[in-house]
Amino acid sequence: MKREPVAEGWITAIRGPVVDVRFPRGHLPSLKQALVVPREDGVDLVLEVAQHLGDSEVRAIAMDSTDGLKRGDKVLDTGGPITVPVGPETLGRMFNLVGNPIDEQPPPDTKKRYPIHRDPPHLSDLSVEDEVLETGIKVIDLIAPIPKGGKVGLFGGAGVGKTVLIMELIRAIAYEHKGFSVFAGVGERSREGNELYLEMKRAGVLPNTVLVYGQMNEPPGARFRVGLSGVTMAEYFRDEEGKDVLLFIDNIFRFAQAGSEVSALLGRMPSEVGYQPTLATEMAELQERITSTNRGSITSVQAVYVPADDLTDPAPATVFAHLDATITLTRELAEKGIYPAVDPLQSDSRLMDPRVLSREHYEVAQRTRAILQRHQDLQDIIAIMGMEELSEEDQTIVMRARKIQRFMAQPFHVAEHFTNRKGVYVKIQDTVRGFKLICDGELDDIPEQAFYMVGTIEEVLERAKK
Amino acid sequence: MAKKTRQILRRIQNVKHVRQITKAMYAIAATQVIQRKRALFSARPFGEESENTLAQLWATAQKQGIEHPFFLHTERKGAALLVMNSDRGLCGRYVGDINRAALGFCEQHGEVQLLLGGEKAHRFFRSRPWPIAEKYLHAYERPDLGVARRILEDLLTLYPERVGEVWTVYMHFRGELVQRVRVERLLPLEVPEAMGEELIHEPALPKLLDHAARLYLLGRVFGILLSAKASEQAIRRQTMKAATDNADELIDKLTLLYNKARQHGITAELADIMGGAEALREGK
Repeated sequence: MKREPVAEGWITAIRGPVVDVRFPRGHLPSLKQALVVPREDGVDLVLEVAQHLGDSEVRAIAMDSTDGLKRGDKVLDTGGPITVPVGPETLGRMFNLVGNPIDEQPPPDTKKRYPIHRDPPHLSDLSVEDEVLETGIKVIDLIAPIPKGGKVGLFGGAGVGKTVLIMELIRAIAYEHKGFSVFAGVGERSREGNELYLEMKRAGVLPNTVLVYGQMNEPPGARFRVGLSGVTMAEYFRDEEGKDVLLFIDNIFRFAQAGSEVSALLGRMPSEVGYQPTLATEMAELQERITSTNRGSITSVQAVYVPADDLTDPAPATVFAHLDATITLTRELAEKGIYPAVDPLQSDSRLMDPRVLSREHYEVAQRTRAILQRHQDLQDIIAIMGMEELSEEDQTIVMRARKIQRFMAQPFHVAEHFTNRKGVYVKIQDTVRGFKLICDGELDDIPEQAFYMVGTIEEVLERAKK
Repeated sequence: MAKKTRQILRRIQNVKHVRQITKAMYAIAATQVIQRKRALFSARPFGEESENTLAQLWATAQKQGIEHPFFLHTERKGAALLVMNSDRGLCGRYVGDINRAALGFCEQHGEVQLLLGGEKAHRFFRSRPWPIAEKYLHAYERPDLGVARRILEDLLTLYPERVGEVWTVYMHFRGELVQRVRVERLLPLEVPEAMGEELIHEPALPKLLDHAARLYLLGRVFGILLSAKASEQAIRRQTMKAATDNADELIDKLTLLYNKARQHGITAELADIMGGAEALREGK
C-alpha cells in the first residue's frame, strides 16, 4: 500500500468485519477499491469496498480484525485495489493476503505489485494440453490422472485426509517439479500452515515456493480474499516469466464460507442453505483465473471440504464444474483404514480417455471400476444372504474387488510418523501393471492382507511369501 | 437432498422385496424339513435291518468261499463319485460345502467319474476337467425309490467294470441343527461283523446274497437321498431365518438413514425460508 491516498473519510458504522465509511461529498471510491485505516501500531487495517450506500458512503469488508476501531476514525482511500508483491523476490517467503510478509523478515524489494482483482485470461489465449502429471499415488494415477496445467479438486468431509493428501501431492509434485509453486492456505488450521513452512524449509524446496496464508484465525474478509492473492502471485510467474506453476489451495470451501459470512452482513438475502446469492459468481471469478495459457501454465490442486459429507451442498457443487479432475475421499473407506480414502467410483478425470492415456491404462482403469461397481451393487445381497449365495463369478469379483480396494491404499511420505511405514512413490506403469494382474485374476490365490498398504505389486508378492 | 432420500427409499424397497422372499422361503423350508425328516426316520429301520441281514449272509458266504463282486477289492483304478447337491440356491453353506468336499475328493483321487445330483453341482463341475457320467437335475425334490433305483442302476453300470470304487458326497442329517458333509464309500461294500446265528436260507446263497446286497445298496442310496434333502431343507430354514433377520437389520439401518436425510432436508429448507424472510424484513 505504498500509493498516496486520494481522499480521506471517516467510519460511520462497524458491524463485525463490515465497516461503513463516509467520504466528503462528491468523492466515492469505486467497488473493490482498498481503503486503509491507519493504526498506531503501524500495521494498517485494510478495507475493501463492497457496496455503495449513497453518493458518498461505502460499505467495506475488513481484511483484518476490527477490534479497537471506532466511529469517526480516519480512513484513507488508496485509489486502487489491494495489491500484492509479485516477482522472483517473493520466492521463499510467506505472506498474508495484503502482501505483508509474516515470516518475520523485512518486506521483499519487488519491482512490481499486482492488484488481486484481475481479469481471467482471454479465451483465445487458453491452452488445452493433455499430458498426465505423475503423482506416484496409485489410485489417483489410475482412476483420476492429473492433467498438467489442469485443475484438480480433492473433495472430502471432515477428517478423511484431504490435507494429508494435498501435502503428499505437494511432496510428490512440487519436490520433483523444477518450477515454482504457490501455496494458498485458506481458512485451515494455522498449525498446518506453520508445519508446511518448516517442512518445506527442511526439504529445501522453500526457495521455489511462495506461501500465502489467511488461516482460520483470520476474520472472514481475509479468508475471502487470500485465495485471490495466491492466484495473483502465481499469475505473475505464468504471464511474465512463462513458467509452469503449481498452485495449491487448502481449502477452497473456506473461500465460499467466508463469502457467506460477510454476505449477510452486507445485507444480501441468503440463497440455498444460507449461502450467498453470489456464490457461483464469486467462485467463477477466482477459478477462471486459475488456468493455463499459451505462455505458461498453472497446475492447481485444491482441497474442497464437503459439509456433512453431502456432495450436493452448494459450495462443493459449485466447485465441481470448474475442475478437470475430481478426487473424492469418503468416510466409508477412511473408516476401513484405507488411506488415501479415495473413492474410485466417485473420482474422475478429463484425461480418462484412451487417446490420452495408453490403451492399457484406460482399459485397466475401466475394468477396475467395473469390478468395484459390481462389488458395490452386491453389498446389500451380501449383507442379507452372505457370500455363499453369490454365483461363482460374483464371488470372484467380490474377492478381486476387496484386493483392489486394499491395493489402492498406500503408505505416504508425509504420514510416516502416523503409519510407521516408509512412504512409497509408484510409477504409473507399475500401477497399471499391478491392477491389471489383479483384474486378470493372476493373483487370486494371494491373501488380501498382502495387498494392504504397499507400493508395487512386487511388494505384494514378497509379502505373500512371508 | 431429495435425490439422496429417494435413493435410500429405493434401497429400502429392494431390501423389503428380498425379505419377502426369504421370509416365504423360510416358511416353506420349515414345513419341508418336518416332512423330509419324517421320511428319513421312517426309512431308517429298513436300512438297519437290511444291513444286519446282509452281514449275516456275507459271513456265511465267506465261510463257504462264495465271492460277490460287490465285496471285491480290485486293483482297478478310478472311482465314481455320487455328488448330492441342491437344485436351488438360498440354502447358505449347503451348496458350497458339498461342492468343495467333492472337489477335494476329485483332486485327491485324480481319475473320477462324476454322477451329479442337482443343478448346483452340475453348474460347478461342468467347466471342470472331470468327466460327468450322469446327472440328475430336479430329480429328487421328494425322493422316492424310483430315483434311488435309477441312480443305483447307473452306479452299477460303472462298477465294477469301469471303476474300482464308488463314493458319495452328501450332507448327513443328524438333527435339525446339526448337518455335516460326509464322504463315504458305497462300493466295495463294507459290512459290520455279523451278529446272531447263522441263517438257514433259501434260495441258494449266491442268489440270495446278490439280492440282499442290491436291496441293501438301494436302501443306502435312498437313505442318502433322504438325508441330503432333509439337510438341505434344514439348512435352508436356518439360512433364510438369518437372512430375514439381516434384512430387518438393514431395513432398520436404512430407515434411520432415510429419516435423517429427510429431516436434514426439512431443516435446510426451513432455514432457507426463515433466513430469506429475515433478510427481507431487515431490508425494509
